[in-house]
Amino acid sequence: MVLILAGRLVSLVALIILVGAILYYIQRAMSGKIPKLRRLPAVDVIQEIVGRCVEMGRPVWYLFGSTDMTTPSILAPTVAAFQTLSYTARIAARLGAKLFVPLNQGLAYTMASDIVREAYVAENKLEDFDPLKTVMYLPSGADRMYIINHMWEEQVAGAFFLGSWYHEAVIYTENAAREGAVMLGGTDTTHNIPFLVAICDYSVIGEELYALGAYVSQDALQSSSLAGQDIGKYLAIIAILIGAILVTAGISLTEFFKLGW
Amino acid sequence: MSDRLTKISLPIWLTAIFGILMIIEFFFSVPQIVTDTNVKLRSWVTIVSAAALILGTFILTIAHVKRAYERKPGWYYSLIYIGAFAVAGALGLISVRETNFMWIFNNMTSPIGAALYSLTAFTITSAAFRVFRARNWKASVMLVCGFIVLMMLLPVGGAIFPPIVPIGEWIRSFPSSAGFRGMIIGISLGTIGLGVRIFLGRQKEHLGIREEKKEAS
Amino acid sequence: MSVIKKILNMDQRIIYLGLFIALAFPILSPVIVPVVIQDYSTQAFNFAKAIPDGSYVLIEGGNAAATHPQCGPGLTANIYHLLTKNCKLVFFSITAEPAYWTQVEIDDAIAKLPASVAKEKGVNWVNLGYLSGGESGVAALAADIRSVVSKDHFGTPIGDLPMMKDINSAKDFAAVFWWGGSEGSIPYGIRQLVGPYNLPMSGSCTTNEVPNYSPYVSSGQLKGLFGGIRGSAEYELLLGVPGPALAQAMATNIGGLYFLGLVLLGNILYLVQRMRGEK
Repeated sequence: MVLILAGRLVSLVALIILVGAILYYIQRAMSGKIPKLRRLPAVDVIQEIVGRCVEMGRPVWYLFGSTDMTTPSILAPTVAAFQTLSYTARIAARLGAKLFVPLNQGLAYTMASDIVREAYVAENKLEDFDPLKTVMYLPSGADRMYIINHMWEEQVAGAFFLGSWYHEAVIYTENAAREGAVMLGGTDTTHNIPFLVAICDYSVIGEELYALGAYVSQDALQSSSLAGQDIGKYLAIIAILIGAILVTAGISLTEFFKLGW
Repeated sequence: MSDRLTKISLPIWLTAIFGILMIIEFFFSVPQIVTDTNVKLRSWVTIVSAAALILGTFILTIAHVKRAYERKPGWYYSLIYIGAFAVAGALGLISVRETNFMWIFNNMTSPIGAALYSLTAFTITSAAFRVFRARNWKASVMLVCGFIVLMMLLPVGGAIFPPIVPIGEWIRSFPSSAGFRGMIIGISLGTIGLGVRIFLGRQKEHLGIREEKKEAS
Repeated sequence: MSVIKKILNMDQRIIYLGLFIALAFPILSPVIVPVVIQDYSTQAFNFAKAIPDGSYVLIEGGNAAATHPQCGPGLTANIYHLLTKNCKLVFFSITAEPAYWTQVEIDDAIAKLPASVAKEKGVNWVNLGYLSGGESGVAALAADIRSVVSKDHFGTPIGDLPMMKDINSAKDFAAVFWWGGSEGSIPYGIRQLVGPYNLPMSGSCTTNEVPNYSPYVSSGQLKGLFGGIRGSAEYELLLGVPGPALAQAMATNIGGLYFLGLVLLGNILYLVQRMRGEK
């Protein structure tokens, strides 16, 4: 009896290598050898945006997009966005910026509320944290008009659009842009990345969002996971190069893979 | 049972065991009992998801009832929600087809949903006017490619200038595809990394648990 | 402030009003215009045409109220096409609202079909309705339909539907069509149906998502793709059954030309401003 199902061997080998690499780097991180992440320009941008809002006396908004964390494709960017929120909230508390974080999902609201409160406590600015107004729960659907209207009313000067964004990204970013807000956007939903890149002043694309979250949170686990994922990228690059050469040489990859690999 | 066991340890162990069972079934020839177990587990997911939908609705209703009762800011909007939920819920429970439930859905819910989605068209037009400017060579390349692809997508584009269709299709199928392929690979690797961290019990945000982390300066 | 600067910074409401006017007239007075068929749509149509007559086909209906105007006519055309080939269709939806709109699209297709085409519920098509669990639900359905669905969208037990007698998993289908709307769910079908079961798949999505799925079309995991209203119009044209998508093609034209006109205007004024040394 064949143990490995037909056509699955290559994927299995790739998965083993990738998971092995991630576990290896996690193990190294546990023994103190944390992979170094390069400082993303977005880290300085966060400080710049919050500082601008303080100078202008206008609020800074932090928006998440979709936050249904039971869906794996939404969990990863949302976690990264939480990590960046923690960093942003500390800067906002330190500089005295008026931070506003609307969310449309209960669990995410609870977590964001805790994160922001902890940030204000860490900066000894708990009196600036309003539990009802700093982090707000807005039901999905109704949040859209609330956010658009209040962006106009409050003349938001800086905004962060980080997380899992869908079509509402365009609506919010354009409205914020019209108010003159400086924006940092980032998502891993591929069809919305172009919108955020085009409209926002600064952006993090795809995996850079995870890297940003890992860098600002100095999370050893995230950093080591990213290092392991880089091994996967090297594998992908090698596979692409080999595949391109084979196809250019006229060797059919379909036949190659039909060998049951 | 302690809180830590039921709220943290048990979910993490169950996640890891069930996830590994699914992966094993995908790659290996497994005994029928494993296949049958996985079929059962997957059917439980659909049941639990449906239950979560209902639970979420009730939690939202309770939150609004509390808000209205405690006269928090905007409490009157909570009353509107409670009224709408009560009417639609009651009609739906009696019969979805034989009551005015479908009238509410067709004449209120659907047009509102369509209208909110259609905001995208207006804002993206406004964004394009403001953003798509040839400020530098990179922006110019994006502008030209975007122009060509949009002309290709318009039904009349091919009639105005026929070569735009093959050029636009080439841009979409090759450079654009290549860029998206790279992003898809990166994001897929990120999702696998997330899976590993969840299986190891190191990532607990989906359980509503956060761990204190040191932050960058 | 110079005129150029005023135009470049014009109130967005003027732009919105212009777009509204540009779209309103062709929608109120539709005009059928010639459409050049794109390669993705040709591939998707040929894929549907090549499905053997009488085969079982799985269809995911993911159009909600927001995407029904764009992709709904395409799904209606798809149902029309497959029923005229005497295919047996099984529908499901992975989100709640599209389950209703899928039935609307089925009813639209049935209304258009000639009397000679068999279209009986339970015999020629079955709508399983909403399937919870997202991608996990799709995986469960693909492995064993009866483990996750006991009744169809109308409450009829599956055992009472003659068509469902011989099918219980993805292996029993010849093809799958994924009309994902704006759910972003086409990869669910690719991962849970194409990958494990080698089930050939085609589908549809909103126009802005087409570049997102072009890698899957290039790799052959998707056998074609109908993109948005243009894709739906092309399907209607290829089938020879004009419908609402073709009627709306003029609105797409005018809206698109307005969009391009604004971009061109913005760039011309911007270049003039730069040449004059203004900021």
